[in-house]
Formats: sequence, C-alpha cells, structure tokens
Amino acid sequence: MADRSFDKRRIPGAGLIAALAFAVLYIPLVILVTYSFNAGSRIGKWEGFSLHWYGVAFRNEDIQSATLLSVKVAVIAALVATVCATLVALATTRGQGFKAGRFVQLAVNQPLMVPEIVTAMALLILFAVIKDATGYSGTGYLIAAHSAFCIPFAFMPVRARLQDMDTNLEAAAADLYANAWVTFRRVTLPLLWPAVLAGFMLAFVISLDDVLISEFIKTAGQETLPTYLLGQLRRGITADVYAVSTILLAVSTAIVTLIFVINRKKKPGL
Amino acid sequence: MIELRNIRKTYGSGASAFTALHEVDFEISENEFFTLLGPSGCGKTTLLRVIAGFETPTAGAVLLGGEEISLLPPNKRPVNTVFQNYALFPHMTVAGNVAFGLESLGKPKDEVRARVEEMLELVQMLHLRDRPIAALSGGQQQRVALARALAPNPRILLLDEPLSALDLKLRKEMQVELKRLQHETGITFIFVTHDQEEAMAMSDRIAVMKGGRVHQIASPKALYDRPADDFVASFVGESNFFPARIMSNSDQGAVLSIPGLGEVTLKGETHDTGDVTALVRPEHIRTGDSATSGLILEGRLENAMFLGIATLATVRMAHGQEISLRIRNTHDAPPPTEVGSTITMSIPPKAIRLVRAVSA
Ligand SMILES: Nc1ncnc2c1ncn2[C@@H]1O[C@H](COP(=O)(O)OP(=O)(O)OP(=O)(O)O)[C@@H](O)[C@H]1O
Ligand SMILES: [Mg+2]
Repeated sequence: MADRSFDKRRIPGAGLIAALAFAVLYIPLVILVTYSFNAGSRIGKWEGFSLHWYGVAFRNEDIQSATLLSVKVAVIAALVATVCATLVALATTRGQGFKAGRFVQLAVNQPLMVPEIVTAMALLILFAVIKDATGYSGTGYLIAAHSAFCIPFAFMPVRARLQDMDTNLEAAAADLYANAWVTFRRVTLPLLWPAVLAGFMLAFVISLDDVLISEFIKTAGQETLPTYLLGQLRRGITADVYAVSTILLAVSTAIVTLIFVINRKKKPGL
Repeated sequence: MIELRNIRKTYGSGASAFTALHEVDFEISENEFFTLLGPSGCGKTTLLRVIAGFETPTAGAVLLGGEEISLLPPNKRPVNTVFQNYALFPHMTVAGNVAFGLESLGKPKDEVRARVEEMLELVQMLHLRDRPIAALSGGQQQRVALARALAPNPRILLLDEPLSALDLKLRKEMQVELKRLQHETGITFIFVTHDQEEAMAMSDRIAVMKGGRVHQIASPKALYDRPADDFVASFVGESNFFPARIMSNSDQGAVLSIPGLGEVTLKGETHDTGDVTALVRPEHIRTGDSATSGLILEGRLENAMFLGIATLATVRMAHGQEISLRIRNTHDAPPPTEVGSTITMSIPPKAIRLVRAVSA
C-alpha cells in the first residue's frame, strides 16, 4: 500500500489531474444544488436562500404525476428485475450445468453490452407491433423495458454474494434433513437477503434515472420525471427543475449509500 | 451396520477425470469408533461425502442396515456430519443451530426445546445458548457443531477433521470429550484425521488410506504390531526398513538375511523365498551387550535427541545405513549422548516384521 501511494505521487501532475477531474465531476452539481435554493430565478445571480422553487415544484401537477409514474415504474421494474436476477443467479451458481451457467451469466449482462440507443430502437419496434396487434398503450411497456435493462444491475450483487457463500452451509442444511425449499428459505435466502436488497435498490435507482429508453417508448401523455425534465429544458429552464433534480440527486445518493452500509454491516457474519 | 461395497468415485470425465476412490470395500459395525487415517488428498473427505450423500458413487453401493442408500439424498439419510470448517449457520444463535435438524424433521416445539437443552448440556454450552455464532471461539463453535449434528440422534455421525483447527491443549480435551460422547450416545462415529496419534488414541478400528485406496483396516494395536505394508508402518509410528531376503525355510523357521546386518531365523514362520522388506520399530532395538540372541550390531552414534521419557538416537552402521532407535531413559542407565561413540545394539527376532513394499 505504501509503495503504491509513493508511486502515484511520483507521476508528475497526477494530483492536478485528479483535482481537475473532481472539479469537473462536482462543480456542476454544486451549482445546480446551490441555485435550487435561490430566491430569484436567474442562474448566475444569487438573490438569497429560499425554498421557493421547491414549493413551486411540489405544487406542479405535471411534476406530481411524472414522479408518481417514475416511482411506480421503478418499484415494479426493480421488483421484477430482482426476482429474475436472483433466480438466474441461483440457477447459474447452484445448478448443475456449469458450462451453460457461464453462458447464461454473459447473456444476462446483455443490456450492459448493447448500446442503449439500439435497445431503445429495438424495443420501440417490438412495442409498436404489439400495440398494433392488441391496442394496449398503458404503462406496461415502460415497466417491461425497465425490468429488462435493470436485470444486470440486480444480478451483480446477488451473484457475487452467492459465489462468496460457503456451499457447506447449504450442504449442512441438507445434512440436517432440510429439503431444497427449506434449505433455500432458512439458509440461502437469509444470507442472500442483503445482496437481494442491494440489487433491488440499485435497479430502482437505475430505473428512476433512465431517460433514453423511456423517451423512446413512452406513449403520448406519459411522462416520467426524467422525460418531463427533458421536455421542460426544451421550453426554457425554470428553477423548479433544479429543485426536482436536487431531490432526485438526494434520493439516489441516499440509496447508494444505503447499499454500501447494508453490505458492509453484513460482512463479518459471512 | 454400514457397508461400503466396492465404492469407486471418479470426478469429472474424459481427459480431466480423476478417480478419488478405488474399490473401497469394508463395513463398520454398530457403536464403533471408526477412523479414516491418511495423508492429504487420499480421499477421506470424498468417502465421508459418499456416506453422507453429497456425492453419488461412480460404482458400488452404500448399505445401511442391509438396505441400499446410495441414491438417497442427504436429507433422507439418518447420518449427520460435523464439517471441517463447522459450517454453522451464521445468522442463527447457538440454540437455533442445534434446533435446525429437529425442526426440519417436524418435531413438536417443546420436544425441540428440551432436546436442544439436553444437547447443549452434553457439550457444556448451555450457558451460551443465545449467543450468535460469530461471537464464539473456535472450540465453542466446535462444540456447537457437535451438538447440532448429534441432536437429531443419527445412526452415524461423520466427523471431518473436527479437531484440526484447535490448539494442542484443547485438542487433547476434545479427544477425551468425543470418546465420552460416543460412549454416552452409542452412535457410530466415523472420524477423519491425518494425525496418527489422534487416530490411535481414539479409535476402535482404523482404516489407513492412500491415493484413494484402503491399505489396511485394523485395531490401533494390530495396525502397529502387524502393519500390512511399509506405507502403513511408516504412517503409524516410526520405522526402520531393511531390504532383505528370505534364504530358506527350515523346521526352526524362515531364515532371513539382511545385508550388512546378518542372518536371523524367524522362529515358527514360513515365508516364500525371495526379496522382502523387514521392519523394526526403533523402540524394539535394545542397547548394550546384554543381548545374546538375534542380530547383534555395532555402529557409531550420529545423533542423540533427549525427549525426557526416551532418547531418540541415530546410529550409522559400517556399511553406511542409518538405524534409529528409541532408548528408554531409566534412573540407573544414562543414555548414550557422546556423538561418535560406538554403540552396541541387538534386534530380537521377534521385533522383526516382514511387510509388503508399496512405497518406492
Ligand atoms: N469436486 C472435485 N472435483 C475434482 N476432484 C476432486 C473434487 N473433490 C476432491 N477432488 C480430488 O479428490 C482427491 C481426494 O480429495 P479429498 O478431499 O477426499 O481428500 P482428503 O483425504 O479429504 O484430503 P485432506 O486431508 O486434504 O482434506 C484430491 O486429489 C482432490 O483433489
Ligand atoms: Mg478432507
């Protein structure tokens, strides 16, 4: 460890580049958050602290309905994705066919490898066909699409946990007369639970944040929070958009922090 | 009670196939303390896993009380295991772990509670019943693992090197305790170790394994006195091996010639003439010139290690061979200590065993 930091310091300008990177990463966020509390409406002109724009945002019915849709889609999609991801992870780490397991693990990660814009186009075409055939135009499309691209995010922590877990624990349960279901319910699941929760929250954040795929496949009148914000930008920015963005940022940060805390706390008991 | 019939276990297939057990065939009777002894990788764990049901034998059968159980899953076998790393459930308390098997069997609540208490009492862990597993020491975890495996009252208890993680003192205590538990419960124990002293101290019978094969099954004493081959002899106790030859058989017995040592008649024994390996235990060699029969030898003391109760000495013979001997220290005969001095030794014919040579 000591050697490594020593080496880093010796690369000329590394510190400066790092500082720059941090600036690029965080200065825009700081500006956004700061101006969401501005009393006035113009960026670059500070007129004092106020929660005015938060009030405006909360009273805005479009924002209310967009938030509702976003949360609904994110919750359902994260649930579906987590269940699917957990089943796949169980099958590939605990099942018999190891060669197939490798392939399936890769296949599940498809959404990470295919460019999102391609996925969006593909889904658009598929859903158009279904819409023509059935006439259905509800939130089902959004939920289905979000479920699909959330699966790899829910999959990662669950698989990692399963691979770390001592398989002798499950063997011990079987040895003590537990059938497959009891073994799963009383041993595998309780030990896997933190990872499943982490996977769910990760999927939730990813879904909440998605703009590209949602923008492509939402039907007329449907707005998620990100697509609503995008639409507002086209019309010219008002500061209530900052307020909404700041809340989104806070929610995401809180959830990601929670994921870390859950997984750290459970480590020693592993 | 449990019979292993020609068990073979091959892992993998094709070019990467590896046979971990070859034609293992023996039985263990009711109430026996049976030990599998052998070096690392000889297939001890694999054999336990076959008995527990975690592995299906590639060939052969496992019979329990005359009934074939080879294809029964682990949860259908009245066999419980103490795992090498204990494999205690980290999200349950001590009592929760011990109750697990009984609950899986669907025993009524108060019966479970009573039995858990009884088991924790037996391993002296009752006062820690509500502790989480992470808050236990190695020795305490070991006791919980034992209680958990004993609680459902299995017909056979499998123990995979349960003491190897403990320090020497605790280990000795647990050896005594395990013997006591086996005696009190009357359950058949199949115990795995690679420590020969531990095996000798605890077992009714020992199976010595190497490379997936059982070399010999015998009581500790028989294993020591009559090892079947040089591998068993060297694994159980200390040994001197001499390449030798049976010259002839007379009315007196077989005539054995050991190059560099001389000729001796093995009274009452007959053997095929030809090359053999002779075994002499270091503690069976006498020192001093009191000996009148057997092989009388002279050599130079190379090395003497004082061990308290005995002195372990290495003597080099004129023709170059080294012989180790264990000399009992008595109050009136101080052991030889001066390196380079000449030592007179004798090997009584009765101390000579002929063994099969299997290790190169
Ligand atoms: N699942 C497996 N696949 C392939 N080979 C295996 C597998 N399990 C064990 N083996 C091999 O079978 C042989 C016997 O292994 P086993 O674990 O039974 O040895 P052991 O006698 O218990 O050794 P130790 O004292 O080190 O625990 C070893 O060479 C091991 O590499
Ligand atoms: Mg082993």
